[in-house]
Amino acid sequence: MLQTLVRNKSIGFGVIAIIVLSGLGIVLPAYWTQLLTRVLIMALFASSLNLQVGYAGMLPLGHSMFLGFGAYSFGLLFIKGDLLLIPALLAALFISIAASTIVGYLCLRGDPMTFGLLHLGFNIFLSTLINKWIRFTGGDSGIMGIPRPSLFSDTLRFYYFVLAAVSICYILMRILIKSPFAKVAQGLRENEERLRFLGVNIRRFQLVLFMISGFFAAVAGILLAMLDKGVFPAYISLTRSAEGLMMCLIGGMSSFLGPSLGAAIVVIISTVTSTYIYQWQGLLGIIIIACVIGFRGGILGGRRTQSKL
Amino acid sequence: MQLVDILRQVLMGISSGMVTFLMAAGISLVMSGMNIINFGQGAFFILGAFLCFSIVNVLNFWWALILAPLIVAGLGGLTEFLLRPLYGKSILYQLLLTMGVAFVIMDGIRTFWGKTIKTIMVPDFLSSTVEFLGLDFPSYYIFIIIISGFVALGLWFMFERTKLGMLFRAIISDRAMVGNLGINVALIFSLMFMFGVWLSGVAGALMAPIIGIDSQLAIQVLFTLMTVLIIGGLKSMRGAFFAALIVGVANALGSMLLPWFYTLIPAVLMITVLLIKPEGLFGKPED
Repeated sequence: MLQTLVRNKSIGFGVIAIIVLSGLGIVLPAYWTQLLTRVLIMALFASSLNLQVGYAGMLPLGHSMFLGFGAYSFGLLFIKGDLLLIPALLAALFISIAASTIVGYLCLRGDPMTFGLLHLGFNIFLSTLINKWIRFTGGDSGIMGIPRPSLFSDTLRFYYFVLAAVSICYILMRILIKSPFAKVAQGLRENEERLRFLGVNIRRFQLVLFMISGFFAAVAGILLAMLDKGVFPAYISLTRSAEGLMMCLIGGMSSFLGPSLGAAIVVIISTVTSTYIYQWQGLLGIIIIACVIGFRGGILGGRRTQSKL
Repeated sequence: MQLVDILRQVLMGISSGMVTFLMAAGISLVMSGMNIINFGQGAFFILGAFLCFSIVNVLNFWWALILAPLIVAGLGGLTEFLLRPLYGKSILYQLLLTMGVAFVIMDGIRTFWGKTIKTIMVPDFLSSTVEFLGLDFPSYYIFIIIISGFVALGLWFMFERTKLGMLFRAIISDRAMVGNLGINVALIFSLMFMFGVWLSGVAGALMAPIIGIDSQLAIQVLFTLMTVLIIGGLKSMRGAFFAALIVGVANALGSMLLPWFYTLIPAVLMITVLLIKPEGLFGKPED
């Protein structure tokens, strides 16, 4: 039922979702508002990942590097580059797009398997670099002192700021996937060869999708840096990449809102359990294994679940 | 900087390159045969090293060298069992599953052995140095080269000259046909996967005395393996061999010449190769 609502009345549903989320901000206590802010940000991250995984059937195994690109370039430009907030933000987005173009170009040179491996390789490389280059990135302790926009500095106001930013991104993504562009993407997932015969330049298409996906992940990264008031190497870790894929998997890769639902589940579970056990990585591993074996369609999977994936 | 230092680094590079080759060969075998990338290889490696640590304390190094890889291979068999429902499905699920297994292993290690970095001593009779060309070389590195050389030779022999190797090769070229001939493909898959993981266990046990045994190394090892596989070509065993040696020596020399940034060397090599030849040095172009 949820899915038909999404498909046919997406605008109405979106408006209702935004109203409900706005209301929740007022009703909930500060701790939960903060958690909900994190859910929104990670939902954006997971949705950006799903543009590649769910719609085009690509295997971006190291997507957290774009979260990290956004967060680290923003943090470094602000703290070390002494830029103001808005210029730092715009420059960070620009750098992230440039970086995702370069990484995308390099990754898309081989077959799909090579793409996945290279993507992962870049992710590990960057996270190693950030961990080792202590003078520049702060190593393990990260960069502290990232500001929020002065108008939105307290928890509740920042929540609305994030809600607005994420909503805009969702609307843009929704427009994107309703466009002919996304039909090509789905065709790519279903039958790449036929598309090639139709004369579609697949590489260039994938690269554009890759850049868009990287851009939204970078936005999520910047928001996350503002939320935590700092940038940490965990943003760019392999675990974070796997978490993103898991969010898509749990929620359902073939639906637009699936990854967001997955993000909500993963963020809430990880926050709640992290107060009791410290082995979140192992628990994540077990959840991944269980999902992959028994639960491949995801919660919002619907009827197209088992088509190609 | 003296010649002897450089030669010593080259030797260390070759020894770590040989060990890397064993692991890369394991991944390459599984990938060509089953079309699965085993992301757990790094975790299996470090598990081998930790098991070696524990067994050395109870028995001796030789037992550790034999038992640790076998236990690791057993766990590999379990992983293969989990993978079974996923054959023929998207690669994504298989990647996620092996990644999940790697996470569980790494956290399992942290729970079981604790977070501290473990070290074990090089066995007594190997702790001396060997004189070669008038220079002293630490004999443990020579030992590593010899043992992994034997394993690599055995691998080649098994692959090219035995019935099992023939079945492996047959499955790589035509899986359905092998199944039609009445051969239990599922069993061969199990063996293949366990064998690939066993190689990783051997690598872990061999390296245990000369590294700080830390569960986080799993990710670093995985990274090295990815670069080696990409440089050499994904499904090429020969490519993996040369790529492993190149990366090993480059790393060893780099750690002496550019101590700050030597972790970047394999990545730079990888990107260069990709720009020139996307399918890897020894890979075949697609189509």
